[in-house]
Formats: sequence, structure tokens, C-alpha cells
Amino acid sequence: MEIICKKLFKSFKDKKDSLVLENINFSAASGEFVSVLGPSGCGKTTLLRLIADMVKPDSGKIIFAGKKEAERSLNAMVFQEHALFPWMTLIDNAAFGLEAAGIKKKRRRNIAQTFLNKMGIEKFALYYPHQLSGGMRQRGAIARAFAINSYILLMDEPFSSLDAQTRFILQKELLRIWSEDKKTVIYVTHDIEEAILLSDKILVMSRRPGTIIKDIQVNIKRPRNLIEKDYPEAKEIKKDIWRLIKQESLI
Amino acid sequence: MAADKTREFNIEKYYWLFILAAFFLCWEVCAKADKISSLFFPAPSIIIKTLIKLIQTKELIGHINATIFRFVSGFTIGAGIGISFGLCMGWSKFLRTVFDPLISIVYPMPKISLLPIAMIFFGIGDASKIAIIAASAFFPSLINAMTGVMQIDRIYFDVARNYQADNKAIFMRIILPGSLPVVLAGIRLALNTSLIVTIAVELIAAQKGLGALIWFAWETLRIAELYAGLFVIAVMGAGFGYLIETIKKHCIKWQD
Ligand SMILES: Nc1ncnc2c1ncn2[C@@H]1O[C@H](COP(=O)(O)OP(=O)(O)O)[C@@H](O)[C@H]1O
Ligand SMILES: [Mg+2]
Repeated sequence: MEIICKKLFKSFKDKKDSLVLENINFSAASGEFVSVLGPSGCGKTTLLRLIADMVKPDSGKIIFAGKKEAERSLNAMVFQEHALFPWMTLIDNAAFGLEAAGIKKKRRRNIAQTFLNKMGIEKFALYYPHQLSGGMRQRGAIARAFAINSYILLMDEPFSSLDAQTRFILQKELLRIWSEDKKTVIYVTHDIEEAILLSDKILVMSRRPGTIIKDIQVNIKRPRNLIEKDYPEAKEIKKDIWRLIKQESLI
Repeated sequence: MAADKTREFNIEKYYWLFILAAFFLCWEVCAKADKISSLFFPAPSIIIKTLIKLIQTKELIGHINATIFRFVSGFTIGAGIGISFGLCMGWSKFLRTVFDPLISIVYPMPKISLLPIAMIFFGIGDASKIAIIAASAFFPSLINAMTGVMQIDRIYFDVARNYQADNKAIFMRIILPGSLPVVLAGIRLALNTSLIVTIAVELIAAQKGLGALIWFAWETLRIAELYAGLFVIAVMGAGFGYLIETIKKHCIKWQD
């Protein structure tokens, strides 16, 4: 499923300088992994919430186009942290989207179990979130998002609160599970390396009011190994982004 | 490891029993030695004998039944309505805006003072007493249920909306379980308050019930009966508290 954002504006009615997103234009092709990179407070989460239809834009349009019409759940969001329901076991959490869709208990448990397997946390199916590490919880959140089999996956700095090692492992797992059925992914981050590792395309945002100041294609062959190999393209992109950030901070 | 720890005998857990036993032993000795007035502080052994007598003559069970009937029906009605309404108020900003001021006005009012008014509406029988007990259970239940819903992190509602859960699913899977710990704390409070009010209305205006038993015992200076009544009330209060704790342990496995 393709996502096209056209001239999106969004403000919140609290203070006078309330514009958060200013003239956002971009498109994400079907199956494309697109990262949104920008300083905190620039409106990245707001952009995801617009795409998820949790808030409405002041003006502008978001178009979803694809071969197949989305049946029901258009998108699945993976939130920053703590978004597993603490009162449900891991498997019930993973099955929540299916439960909300009215799928019978046995069937949804089976599907959820499959995705717990894929994320390597099947042993903890009956644990509650407080009994799990941050990394396992985020695996659970990813399993929940993938279980509803939506065409679009929205991720809001999903690994930002994890330690470097766990983050590294989860980035790989995310790419592996994504490559199986190529959902369109919008991935919010403020980590340049992460954006380069994961994305087909990086959208660099300005400070608030956020607007897209650059749209960078990442043409590095997958699988990428940024730690052991030196990619000249990666270096170029990094320099490019740093330059943009410097310019931004002078304004 | 964890299982071993719970099985381990921990003497500190039972200190309260020693203190209680020491207290009653001291009382017994002092009363027997006539150091304290045996009219107003009869020895615990005499109180126990009186208690047994009250049980044997079936007098006590009548009082207990009357008290439990009023308490349970008043509490169930008050807490039931209070929790339901509180959950709705926690969920709906509109309901909060409308009813919050009204609740702040009525809540601090001692419910027992409304007994005469309740009698005008419901007569002098059990109905007016139950109404007052219900009112006393209503407010703590309502306020805690409302707080319980409001303290649920917004993100869970966002997740639910993102997965297109309908209102029924949001209520059953988020509002109810998310507020349960606070709701149970409210139930606990409501139990205490309505037990106080139950005994109070019986002291004032009943022929039967533990409150009435205590008051008649006082008026006729049968002080041992008075203590026997107090003992039963204490056991009842502790019993209901224990029940709630047990329910809590069973229902809330998801907290540390
Ligand atoms: N519901 C809201 N009401 C008012 N202001 C908001 C709301 N949500 C976000 N904002 C403001 O919008 C700006 C962008 O927020 P957000 O999208 O969360 O940024 P980011 O995710 O990039 O850190 C912030 O300054 C924030 O204070
Ligand atoms: Mg954010």
C-alpha cells in the first residue's frame, strides 16, 4: 500500500505559536521502508498520528493507494514504550488487534503464537509485561502489530529506550520479519545510524514547525552491516544529514 | 526461590498475635485482681462466657443476621451504583464536568445526618437504614472508580483506538482491568465506611442488629454483652477486609 501525504498542516490550539507541522509532502511506495528523522518536538509523533487517523490535519490530504483495498485495519502502530497492556499476558497482548477485529479466541491465539515465535518470545506467552525486559516487551509490541497483517506499519521510536545491544538485535529482527511480507513502514527515529541501517528512504525534518527539508534515498544493498563494513554511501548520507542538522541549529 | 520464601516461617508476621494476647492477659489479670472496675471492664473470660451464652440462646445470630442483611444490601446497592457511575465518569469528560461539583458538595456530608430525611422518604423500617448505608458506600466507590479510570495511561486508549477496538472492547479490556486496583481500594474504603454507618444507624434507630445489641447492653448495664457485640463487629470488619484482599490477590496478578 502506498502512502501519499499532500500539503499537510497541523496545529494544536493551545499557545499562539501552535503550528506543529507545516506543509508536509512525501510519498512512501508500497513495501518501502521510510524513516522520519528529526529533533524531538518537531512533530514526528504527530505526523504518525495523522497517518494513523488518530488526529485530523488542519488541511492537506493523506492518500492510501494500492492494488488491494485494505480490508479493515489500515495500519498498526508500535509506540515508543510501555504500550503493552500491563493487565494482559504477552499472548493476549499480541492477540489484541485480532480480538478487536472480532476473531475467535482459538484462532487469534494461534496467530498471535506464530508471531511470538517469529519474535523469539514464545516461551513467555503467559507472562505479564512487568515480568519481561524492555526488549522483550518491544518484541511483544512488534508481534502485536504484525499479527493484524495490515499493509502499513507505523513505528514511533520503538527502540529508543533500549540498550545498544538489544536495539541492534531488534533492528535485525524487525528487518527480517519485514522482509517476509514487505509492509509499507514509516519509522520515526532521531538516530541517524538507525535510519541508514533500516531505510529505503530517509525524510529529514526541521525543527518545529516541522517540515521535510530533505528526502534522501538509501541505495545500499541489503542486508547491511554498518558495524563491520564501510559503505561510502552511508558516509555520504551521514555527512549530508549532519550538514542539514547544523544548518537547522543556526536558524 | 520465591516459593521458598513464602513458605519460610517468619516470626515477625505473628508479633501482632503476641501483642493482642498480652493485652487480653493483662486485662484478665487486672480484672481478676480487682485493679480495674469489673463492672465496666469485665474480664475477657467472662466476655467469652457471655458470648457463648448469646450464641446458645440464638439471640446473637438474630442480631448478626439483621446487621449483615442491612450492611450487605446497602453496601451492594451503593457500591454497585457508585462503581458503575464512577467508571462512566472516569471515561466521559462530559459526565465529569456535570457531576463533579455536585459530588464535591454532597460527599463530605456525614451520611448518618441524612437518616431523618431518609425516614421521611422510606419510612422507619429497614429501607431508610439501607438507603443511608448505600449512600455511605456510594461515594468512596464512585470517586475511586472515577480516579481508577482517569489514572489509566492515555497510551492504552491510543493503542485500542489504533487497533479499532469498539467501545465495548475498550470498556472490557482497558477500563475495567486498568481501573481494578483502584476500584478495589475504593471497595475496601466503602466497606469500612458502610460498616461504621450500619452500626451507627442501629445504635440510633433499631430493635435488632449488633448496634442495637450494644446500645441495649449499655442502657441495661450488661457490659459483658456490650463487649461481646464489639468483638463480633471487629471480627466482621476484619473478615470483610480479608475477603477483599483475597479477591485482590486473585484478580490482580499483573502488578509487582
Ligand atoms: N495533543 C497535543 N496538544 C498540544 N500540543 C501537542 C499535542 N501533541 C503534541 N503537541 C506538541 O506538538 C509538538 C510536536 O510533538 P510530537 O509530535 O510529539 O513531537 P516529536 O514526536 O517529534 O518529539 C510538541 O511541541 C508538542 O508539545
Ligand atoms: Mg515523539
